[in-house]
Amino acid sequence: MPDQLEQSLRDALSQRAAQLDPNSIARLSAIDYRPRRRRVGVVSVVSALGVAGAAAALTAVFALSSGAAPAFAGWQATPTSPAPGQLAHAAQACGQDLGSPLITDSRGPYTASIYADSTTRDVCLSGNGVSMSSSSTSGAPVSVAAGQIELDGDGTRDSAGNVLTLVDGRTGAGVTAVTIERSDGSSVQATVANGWYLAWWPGTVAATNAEVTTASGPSTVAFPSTPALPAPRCPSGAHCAAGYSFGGGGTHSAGQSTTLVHSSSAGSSR
Amino acid sequence: MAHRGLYGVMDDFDEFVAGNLEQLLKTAYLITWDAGEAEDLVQECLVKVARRWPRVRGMAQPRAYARRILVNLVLDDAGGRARRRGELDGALVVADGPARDLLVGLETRAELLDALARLTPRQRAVLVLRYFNDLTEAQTAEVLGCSPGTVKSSASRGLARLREVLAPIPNPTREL
Repeated sequence: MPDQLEQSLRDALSQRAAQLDPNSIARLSAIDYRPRRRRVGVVSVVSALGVAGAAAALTAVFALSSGAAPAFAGWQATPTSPAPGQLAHAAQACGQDLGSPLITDSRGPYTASIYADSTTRDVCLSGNGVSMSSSSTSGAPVSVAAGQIELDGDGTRDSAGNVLTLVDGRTGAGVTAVTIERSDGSSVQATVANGWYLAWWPGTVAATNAEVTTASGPSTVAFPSTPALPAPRCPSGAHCAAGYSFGGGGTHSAGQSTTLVHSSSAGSSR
Repeated sequence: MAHRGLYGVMDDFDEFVAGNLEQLLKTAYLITWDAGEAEDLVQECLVKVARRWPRVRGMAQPRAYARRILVNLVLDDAGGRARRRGELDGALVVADGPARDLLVGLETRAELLDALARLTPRQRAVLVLRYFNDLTEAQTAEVLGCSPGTVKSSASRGLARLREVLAPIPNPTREL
């Protein structure tokens, strides 16, 4: 049973709170807090179905908007040098509150960037009329052993038919290069910097292996397989497109746990 | 044609704001003890929550997530200001010296508020989360990023200190 001081404290705090100017609430209610990003067209939402066998849960949500440029025209399989102003434009598109990116990956007119702290990761992609953002969290900070890489990835498509697949993660000490091998036999060179790697490509061709290069030479690790998408699930009231993610905060040595994320285009919105 | 995708996902963010704004603002106000700062910090908090709303909306307790963001912002902001003033923000104790003297003989609720105002933001945060937001020790610990034991001892020390300076308010445990 609370003593009188505790009750007095509750009363005093309530009394103090009641002194707030009602106009403060009105002012805050009138603000549009939504991220100031271009959203023409629109896209996807993915709903995490769970992580089998993974120590840390990870969910990922993509929001992709595509403007005039269809199907990522000008995309390159090898990172390119950014054009003047390209990185500044990408930073602007990603939002000022994310701070400085840990890694930027430019491919033709597109720039993808990772912003992260110990448990939260934001990936932004912009350029040529396209703007995409992704936010994911893991339950605990990820530690990657020397010479290894974290295997995470996502894929999504928008209602206009634009589809992309993205892989990214932390790299252990000594990793100098990462090349993503895909299921069609082609490969995409990742950008590696500041303990991270990042690569993406148009379409749904799956990442099968990563060739990880260290001073002792290259080694190959397999990405978790991406199962066939199950029956669509979509958050109530939301519009969704197909998507998936895999990984779960582990490194390639942590097993083949797979997070399958999928949603449908059903539902309605304003 | 209706907007699709993220716009639909963000629809319930407006409902979240409508349902939680007042409580978040009051919480910030009680910890900062300054209406203007509280307003700024709640705005910053909601911008952060909005940016991650597609993920946050799927959490079991979106309100708890927002509260944690807010309290961290408040304490980060207060910590910066305190450091600039060369102040310390340590254990939950009422200030010594002149401030301590001002607490002697308090009897009224207004004086209790004065006593609270002299606590540091982190000290107030413990009491606000426990006695205004009615969080458990475990929930308070999660918000503050410390152990439940730390919350328990901090709240006990704070209450004991307030009880000491508010002696005119009878404590049932002492009435006999």
